[in-house]
Amino acid sequence: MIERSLRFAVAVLALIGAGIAGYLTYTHFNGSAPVCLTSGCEVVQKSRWSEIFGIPVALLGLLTYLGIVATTLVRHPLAKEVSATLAVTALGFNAYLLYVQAYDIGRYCTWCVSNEIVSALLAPVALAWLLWRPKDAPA
Amino acid sequence: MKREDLVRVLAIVGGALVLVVALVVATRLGHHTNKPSASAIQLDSVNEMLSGIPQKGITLGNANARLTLVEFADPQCPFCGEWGRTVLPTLVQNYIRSGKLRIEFRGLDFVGPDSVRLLRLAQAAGLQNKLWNVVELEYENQGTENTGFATDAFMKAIVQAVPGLDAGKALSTWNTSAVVPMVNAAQKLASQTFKQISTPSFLLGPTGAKPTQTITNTIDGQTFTDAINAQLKK
Repeated sequence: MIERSLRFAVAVLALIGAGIAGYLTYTHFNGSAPVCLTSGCEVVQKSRWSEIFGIPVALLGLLTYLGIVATTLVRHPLAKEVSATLAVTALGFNAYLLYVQAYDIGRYCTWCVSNEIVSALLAPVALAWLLWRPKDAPA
Repeated sequence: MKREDLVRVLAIVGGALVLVVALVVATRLGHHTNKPSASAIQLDSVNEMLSGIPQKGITLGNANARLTLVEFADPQCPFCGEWGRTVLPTLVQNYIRSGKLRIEFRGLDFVGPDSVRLLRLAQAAGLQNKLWNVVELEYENQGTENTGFATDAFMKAIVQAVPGLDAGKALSTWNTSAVVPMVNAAQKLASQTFKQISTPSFLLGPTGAKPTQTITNTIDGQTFTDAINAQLKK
């Protein structure tokens, strides 16, 4: 029951992250500015930090979140390891992107910050899902 | 936590750390900083495109044109630059040169300090009715945002590339109060018109009347062509 709840929580958080990253990917390719609470979204989204070797950072985020969603749907022995690795990587890279917004760009994008909050929630849940085992399960 | 679990977590965190470091290094190396050279200003076809078209202050085109397009843009904004390089030439060729459309440039400077310098320089050129040449040359030679590319040498090279512009006068005017009213007017109009502006944004409507259409979140040329054709048919 707990294992299922953790798996579900990982899937839901990853889907939320995928939604945010998907929207930012769409606006990146569409050339439009994201709907935003501040003027920071457009500045961040159009900054040179929004791409790595021409690949939108938002697209990398989308693929990462979809990868995590996929791990919750398969019954592979390494699914939890992959999920946790992706989630912790997302957390670390999002922390760096938060630093970039604060110190390199000087503006915050509300979508990006929301994404960073999602990854901060997702990583511990994914680790909990990885480590959780029933009391009567063999060690 | 059991030893076995600890090893698993450390392995995952270690693996993630390697990936994060690789991504961070890629972001630092992966984007070249485009800092245009002041000694090699790209003229492309800007001056040729605008040649012979009347300019007055912030406007380009016949004062009696049926339609007016108001452009809200930041000289540093990459999408504004893209619009200026790809869509404007078509509008000039099909509508502005024939006197059907005029454009107002309402410059904003929210991206950063380079925006302030570039916008003020454009407005200073506007005092000599050459704003559009400067704006389009700034777009043609646009550097990466907030890298300090709008140096004195860069700005000098831009204004010296505009035929008929007194470059010395523009360079002595851009940092004075003479350009402030135009900058303030644009910001006021933007805040009155848009709840939350993104650049470039546009207003379209009959000249002398209240704009009837807002065009935002796109730099697709067909969108502008369709909107102008629809208004010209009315």
